[in-house]
Amino acid sequence: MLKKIYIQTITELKIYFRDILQVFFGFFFPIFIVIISASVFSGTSMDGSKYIDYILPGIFSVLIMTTSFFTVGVTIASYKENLIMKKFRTTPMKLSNFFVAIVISRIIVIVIQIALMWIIAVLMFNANFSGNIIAFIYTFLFACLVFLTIGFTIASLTKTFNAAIGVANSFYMGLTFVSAAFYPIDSFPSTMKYVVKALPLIHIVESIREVWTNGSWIPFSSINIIVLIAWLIVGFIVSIIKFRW
Amino acid sequence: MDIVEIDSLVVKYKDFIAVDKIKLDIKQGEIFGFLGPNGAGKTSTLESIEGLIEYEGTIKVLGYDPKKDRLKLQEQIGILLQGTNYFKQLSVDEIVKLFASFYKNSNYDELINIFLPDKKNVHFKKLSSGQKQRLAIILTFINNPKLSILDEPSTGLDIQSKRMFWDFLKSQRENKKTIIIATHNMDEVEKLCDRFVILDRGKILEIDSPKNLINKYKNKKTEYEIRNLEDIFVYLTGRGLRD
Repeated sequence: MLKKIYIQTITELKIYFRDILQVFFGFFFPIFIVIISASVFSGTSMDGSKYIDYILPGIFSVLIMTTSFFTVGVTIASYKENLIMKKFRTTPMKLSNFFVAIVISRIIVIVIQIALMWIIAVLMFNANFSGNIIAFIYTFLFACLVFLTIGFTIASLTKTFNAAIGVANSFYMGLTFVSAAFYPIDSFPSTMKYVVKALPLIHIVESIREVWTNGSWIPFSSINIIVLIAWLIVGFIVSIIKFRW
Repeated sequence: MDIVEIDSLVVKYKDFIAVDKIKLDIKQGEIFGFLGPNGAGKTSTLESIEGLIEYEGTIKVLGYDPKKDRLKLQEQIGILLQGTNYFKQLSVDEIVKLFASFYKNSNYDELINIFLPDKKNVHFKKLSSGQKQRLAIILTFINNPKLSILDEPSTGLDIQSKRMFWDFLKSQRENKKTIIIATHNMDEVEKLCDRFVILDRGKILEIDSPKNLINKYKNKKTEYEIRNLEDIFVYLTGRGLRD
């Protein structure tokens, strides 16, 4: 079983890294955005942190989200449209092996994206990680799990590439602009804050930011973790019920 | 020995009955054809045999119930779907190795040499439509299946590839392998199939060998002369367009 998962994981990585546009927009474009914005706002501070230390957890969160939504949701929908999933179903391949391979390959991609971004941020803008690396890895993996599950939900709800792009874009735009990824939530109207707090991105951002700047673990009883676990459970249930090969 | 046994098969899509109480058996070492106009119930019957869709009635394939034993069954059968695209970023060799990894036993070097010699390292996106179909054929036979179910297998193949493919199917038959073909190509049925069924509106209209059926209908008085399988097919299913 492990060999089968290994072969599928390597295959998925080849498919990802041989798509030049995907690599450009997944790796170089976000780095470009960070360089531009951190250069422009280099002298400012937000919530008592340097600008780069404030936005980096937000950038990491958005990276995890976009890679999960677009390279899981959209990719699987395009597999469905091209009948690759149906062809898989005509073989003894286990769907669970496929899902595990997708999760591992995407986590590897996200790790490389974040590592590159981190190196650039440290070298060019003196980004300062003052947290606990174990706490960071735990928070990072949890964030991946939540967003990858939503990625699978997108794949379950759509049958074609175009439909998946539409759904993934709506999720992406909605979550990115209604979150604290790039600006503090305090500036939001009070009713809007409730909506924001029900969505997953702000909790991922806050969790990573907490680890990044204070080095503290997010306790399981915190509202951040409760909301994220709710998204995880709902996404998982919808994916199980709605997924068709 | 019967490799496929179908009894009272019914396939429904909401209120539409795609397959209506059909019964048929397919023997070991037989090339068996499915003929029918579009929407006749061919693909629904095949997908029931493959364990891909829900159905009513009884099906046994290689002794397995496709509903209950799908993974065990698929270890021993090969399925060629219509219109599948594979991964454009991968080479023939990489795609073949991925699919080979799904089976306990697989053998693909000889298949690549037969169907895509010198194309092992070529990426899928650079293959012609005929070469893509030949790759689909390789993936169908990658596990040396006891039963192969082929939906429109000659689509996109040039004459040379088609003849080579037919020779390959005949060699499979000589090795006691069973093959099911759904096709609109009468030539394929006439030259390859030991028996075939004509389906229309989910029901069996005829089931026999090409030779027997031609003998049965050649002296029948109709508005036009019946000389070959296509004439019989049109006589039985009509001239009106289908969906």
